[in-house]
Amino acid sequence: MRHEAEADFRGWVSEQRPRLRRTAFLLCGDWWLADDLVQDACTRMFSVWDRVRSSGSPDAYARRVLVNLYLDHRRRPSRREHPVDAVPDAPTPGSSPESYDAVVAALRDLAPGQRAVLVLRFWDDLTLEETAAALGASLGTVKSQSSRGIAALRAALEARGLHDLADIVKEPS
Amino acid sequence: MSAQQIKDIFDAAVSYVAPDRLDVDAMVVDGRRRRRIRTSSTLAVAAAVIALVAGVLVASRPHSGTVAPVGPAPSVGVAVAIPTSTWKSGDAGMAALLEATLTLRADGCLVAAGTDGAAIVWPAGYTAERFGPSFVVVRDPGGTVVAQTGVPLRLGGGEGSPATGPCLAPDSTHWNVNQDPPFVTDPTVHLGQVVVPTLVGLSRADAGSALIAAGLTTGQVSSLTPPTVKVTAQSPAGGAEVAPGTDVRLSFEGVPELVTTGLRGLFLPEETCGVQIAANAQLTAITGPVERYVICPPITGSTARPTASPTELKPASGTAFDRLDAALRLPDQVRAPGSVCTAVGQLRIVVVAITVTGAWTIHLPDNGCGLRRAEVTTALQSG
Repeated sequence: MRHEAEADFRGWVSEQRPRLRRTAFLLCGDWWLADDLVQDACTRMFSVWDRVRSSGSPDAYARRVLVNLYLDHRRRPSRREHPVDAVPDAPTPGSSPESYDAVVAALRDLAPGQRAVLVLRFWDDLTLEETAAALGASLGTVKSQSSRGIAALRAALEARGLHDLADIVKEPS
Repeated sequence: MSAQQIKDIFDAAVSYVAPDRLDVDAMVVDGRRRRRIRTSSTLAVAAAVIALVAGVLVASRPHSGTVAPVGPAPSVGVAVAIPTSTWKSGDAGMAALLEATLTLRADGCLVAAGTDGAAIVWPAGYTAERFGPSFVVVRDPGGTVVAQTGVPLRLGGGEGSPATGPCLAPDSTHWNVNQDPPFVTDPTVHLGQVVVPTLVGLSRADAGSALIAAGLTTGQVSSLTPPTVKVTAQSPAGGAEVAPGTDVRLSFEGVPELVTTGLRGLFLPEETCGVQIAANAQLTAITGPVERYVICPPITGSTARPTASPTELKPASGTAFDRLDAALRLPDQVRAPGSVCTAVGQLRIVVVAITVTGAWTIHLPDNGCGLRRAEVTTALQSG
């Protein structure tokens, strides 16, 4: 039984790890930290795997653990990133505006909560209600964070001269 | 506007995916450990409630029974190959007794200290895990720590004939363990726990050595401060019992709050590659209140990141953090297909730490990519 659960967990990790890593990266903007977060989240998942598996929604649970770990990490005084006056990742002149660097740098400008809402809503395709459930927040909080996050992302893209992308980032109609 | 268009932007942001360094085996091992701690903590609370209801004063020693995790989660240990037999609980076996203390020999074999350094052949399913250079725990098939280095053991069983297996010399005898745990009879020993040494007042170098000798690791932040700087605070405190591999965070005299301590991928090719000169020049030119470890990711595989010549990577104007970030970009981008620097044999791992007092560049051995933090810290201490 125990081996069966472990094999099941390993299969789940194999299937979900690409998506979890990308979600974590969009949250934190650092692949090494992203892997640390996913590693920790999956470890916690396995410690309660029997219960999570029987609940039938391990993906949602994993997302919630991952986001909470990220937000906890950001709250810690020793967190790895501190705000700086200047944006650390200015785009290289001549590079594509849709480049990895520019978008990630723009995301870094957002408050952690806003970033989490946008990533869950638009990258993980969650509804507002599902996002609220994943964050353990009220629907109203998620709506306001989403609205402010979109505005902040648009401004961050504008600040980098990425006007075409900024025009896209609006509350979906 | 549609949500799909915004999703497309996020897709662009993850169009480059760094090499995956997740460790599923470690998830399983650590997950089991978390489950055990949680279960035993629950039992401890239940026991305490029962004792209170009964009006019994329970005088318990600190950390007897269960121990709540202290400080950050422990690092994952490194597997140590140990010889095992087919003997398992319930089987008939030999009934002699070996009183011994385990030690990790220089060749990586876990043996009985003193006398003849006999190799121990453990029952079926036993495993061992190393934390730091020499602290090793032995686990039974259920994952419970049943023995560890430095602790007197009583191992029931008997000498075996020559055999093959990890650490078994073909012409020597070895000790077969034919007994179920416990192997430790000293009630003051808490297996699977190590005592945090008191480090306040020690130099960084001495504190680091003491931590590593105890099977602990320094927090990511502290191990690269100048070796003579004194420790002013530590967490967990000296005397606390924690799981091996736990990070002990240290604060140092005169060292300000750190900007960042994240582990980032950095490739610097060997000295023969001209681009390293440019990279080094950028790195050593950086000053400012920044401390950072940089460790290369696995060196195989390719990257989808755009290539660029070193001249395009000149740091933009801005803060020291800007320049550091720009410098960290360089190595990924020099891994262009066909570059003379992409051959595995030509690469070395370079760990760079930058603090208020300057920059250190430490070369780790070739093919050491994927080292865990504890191993890197060990290398840094010895470097």
